[in-house]
Amino acid sequence: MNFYQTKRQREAVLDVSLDNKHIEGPPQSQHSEGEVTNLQDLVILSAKRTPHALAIKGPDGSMTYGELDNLANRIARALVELGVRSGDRVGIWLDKTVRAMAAMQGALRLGAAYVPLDPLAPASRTSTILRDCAMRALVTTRERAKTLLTDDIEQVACLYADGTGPGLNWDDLLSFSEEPIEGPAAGYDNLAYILYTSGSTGKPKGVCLSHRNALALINWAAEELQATPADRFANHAAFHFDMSVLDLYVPFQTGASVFLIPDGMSYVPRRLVDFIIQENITIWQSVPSALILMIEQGGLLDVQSIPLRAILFAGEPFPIKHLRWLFERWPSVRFLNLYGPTETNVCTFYEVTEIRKDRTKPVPIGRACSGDRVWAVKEDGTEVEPGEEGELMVSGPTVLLGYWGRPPHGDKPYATGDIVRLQKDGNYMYIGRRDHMVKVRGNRIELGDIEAALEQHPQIREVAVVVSGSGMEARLIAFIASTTDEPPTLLDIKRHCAERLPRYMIVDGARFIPALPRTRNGKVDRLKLTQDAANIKRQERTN
Amino acid sequence: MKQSEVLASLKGYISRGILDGQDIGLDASTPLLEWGIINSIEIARLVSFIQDRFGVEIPGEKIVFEYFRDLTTITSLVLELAQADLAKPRKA
Repeated sequence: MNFYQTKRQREAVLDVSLDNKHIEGPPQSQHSEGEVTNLQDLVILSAKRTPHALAIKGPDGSMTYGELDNLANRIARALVELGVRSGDRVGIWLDKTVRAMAAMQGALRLGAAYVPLDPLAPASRTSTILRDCAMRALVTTRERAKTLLTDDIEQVACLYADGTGPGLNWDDLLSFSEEPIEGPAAGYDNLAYILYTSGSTGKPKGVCLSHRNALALINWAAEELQATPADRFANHAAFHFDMSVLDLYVPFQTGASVFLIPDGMSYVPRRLVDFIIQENITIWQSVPSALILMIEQGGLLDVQSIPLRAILFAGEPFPIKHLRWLFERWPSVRFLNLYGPTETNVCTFYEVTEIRKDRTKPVPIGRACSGDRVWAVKEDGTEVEPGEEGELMVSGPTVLLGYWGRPPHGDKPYATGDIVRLQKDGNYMYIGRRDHMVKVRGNRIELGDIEAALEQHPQIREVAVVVSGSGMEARLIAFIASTTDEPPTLLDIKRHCAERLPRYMIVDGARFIPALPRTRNGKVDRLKLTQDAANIKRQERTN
Repeated sequence: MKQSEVLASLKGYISRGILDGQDIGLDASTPLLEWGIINSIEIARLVSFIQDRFGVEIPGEKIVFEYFRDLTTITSLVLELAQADLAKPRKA
């Protein structure tokens, strides 16, 4: 169709650095015959073996492997009509639904990569990402598409997951064949998906992951969990977070089922506990915060019995008190602590086999997994001995291809920025960050990135962001010295952040001061600001 | 239950409970989720506030983002559920 050719030509004016060649790299064949070398084959093979088995259930319905397989083929053909080709990027801007997941499968079948976008992100942020990776197509709702700028929407072809009207709609998928797509499949080392995190000066950073990266984690987890077709996985994390990769693809590899927890429900404790029982969930993975809420307000320790056989937690240290309660209440459940940044996904794990009475620290992050090698280096560059601390390094099959638009990461190890201690038993213990990065509600946050974004605000002269409180109570507080007598409002500041940063980096509160306090050597006195933030909170509570 | 009362009560909750009173510019159509005024954790708290304040239990399938987009959508949800509750036969 001429229409889409014109669109391709127009792409030349998009202000992006296309770096596809860098990131793709030559396909390598370091795998044995018959081994699955791409993510789409996981569903295809399960559909061949057990077409009638339940693959996925979400707020918008359920699908067997056979149905999912057919739908993915139809979506792939629809995407072809929209101009998508092997090596392209397809954005998925939808609530967490079966449709969103099917769209990912559709993109993969063409050798394209998918880019899951925060369903709640404002159009301006989505549009920045859309331009950054020169998306060919976007699967979204009509309402969301309307919020994008005319400029953006002209550059990207849409498949609408809802409604009817001009353009390609979900109902139109029926007019496409459900037969398998012929053509060269994506290779082991091709780009499979991009996960966007924050970047300095508010520019989003696309972490590029290959089929090999994901499969290394999936194969390890399936084996470690001894997953079977009878397993029922819960998916708590949003699709644009790396934790969801395990929840979705381990069941697909195994022929098991995955049950999507709607995003809005993800911190409603009673509902989550009901969900586990009603859906007969056998494998649960979430951030510890969700589990803590389920213990404290959802009755997770009080229910009579529980279908779970494994609880996986990741993203932040699990306070030992809560973990101990769970561990002692449900002795037949396996408890696994998973660790890894988006850039490497899960690269270490630790299985909790006992929690001593006198233990006060969280459990270790453990040892290498997913075929990776991990070690820690001291400031002088040498590897740590047992008892010593250093920065954790990762090399192996899960290490990212690179960041979109930048040179490939190559074979070098990935430096996590996390300081760990090597224990005598060979397990690593998480100590903290080496930089200003902090963890708030399970998300890695570089405070400097928030400050850089806020400094772009015309009414802000200088700004420092600190974390007040910890765990579920952690809040990001911005201390702001304004350029004008009338400082911006908190809502102005939040909107400003929302347009430039991932949602988890939007500041929770703002304090306006004439100037930032400085230490004697001129640095911003972050310690004082952190104390001030804590004091303000205390005053508010006592008032 | 009046629309204006529900709206005012929800606005008061968000203003005091979440924004520390810094609510200049907060109105019925402020995008609460998009601007990070409420997140998944705050939705959970809001659900229990609504239950306490209005005696309305929000069923799981309604705890989705489209109903929590702004004060208008939350207000409509509360009113709709309260209406449905009234229509149910009372237990003896």
